[in-house]
Amino acid sequence: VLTIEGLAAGGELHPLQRAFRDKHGLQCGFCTPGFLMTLYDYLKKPEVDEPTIRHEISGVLCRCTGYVHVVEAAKQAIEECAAMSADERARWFPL
Amino acid sequence: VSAGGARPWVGTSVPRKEDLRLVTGEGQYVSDLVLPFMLEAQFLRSPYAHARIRRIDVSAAKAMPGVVAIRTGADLAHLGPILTDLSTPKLPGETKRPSFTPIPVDEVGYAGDLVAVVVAKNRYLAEDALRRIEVDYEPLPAVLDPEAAAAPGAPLVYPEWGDNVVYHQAPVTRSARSATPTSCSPNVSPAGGAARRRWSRARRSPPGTRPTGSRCG
Repeated sequence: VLTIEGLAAGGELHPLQRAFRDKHGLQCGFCTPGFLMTLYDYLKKPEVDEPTIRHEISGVLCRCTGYVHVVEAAKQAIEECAAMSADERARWFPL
Repeated sequence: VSAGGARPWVGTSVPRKEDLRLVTGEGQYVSDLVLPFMLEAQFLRSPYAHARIRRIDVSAAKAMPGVVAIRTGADLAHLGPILTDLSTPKLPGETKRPSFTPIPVDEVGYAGDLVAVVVAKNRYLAEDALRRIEVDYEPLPAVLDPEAAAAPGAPLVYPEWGDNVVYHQAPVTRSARSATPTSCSPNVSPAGGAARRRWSRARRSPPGTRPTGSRCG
């Protein structure tokens, strides 16, 4: 079982966690575990088009920031993960 | 404006200090708090916009495991009436003030209005007990449109008012306005003419809108 508590590795934030912080993808943070773990799964074989991202996260409700920044954070993480080496992928996506 | 004279703040993205704990699952919310001997409350709410409560039977719910107390409107009626200070400063004329009890006693006024509260060892047991409360409702006509609500004969939100009108405001003339320069007077009648203005008010919510954030030790 992997939860948000297990995303960071070796004292370093997971690219998803960093993306949410960089892009203001959270405000109160209550829904953040849901977004991060949903996107963790999605990032294993992501598509970059926004409608697909929005469909993927449609099961998570945010009532502070809305979804624009969440989508931007997802895009940043997708880009970053696409450029990863096999070793980096294995490190950040153990499951 | 700058921070310590160095970095300009305006137009700069400032990283939030709280994000680190929130993206690592270290956030703490009201429902995470656990206090010694803590109990949790759940509320039974009306499915009707307007209904008379003919009868409430809490006996089966009271017998459920973990249930500590159940209160209905009748149980708490002695704590009312609570008078809401709805008065808006500097509006001419008299503003009516709604009066209510902590839980409505025999009539609910909106879908979601309180009917009963269950206090139990935890919220799950409280929720289970909620489902065992038997309420006999007599649905009554409801009004959903503000202008229909103001019309004569409309179903009443506060029966003691006689209508649903909070206050009447007479047009204020220019001369009357200049005599009271601080008053809020949107209805200004130009000489020989008339002005109309429509307001809208969002919702009926005398208590706080987020009462879930309460923990009592």
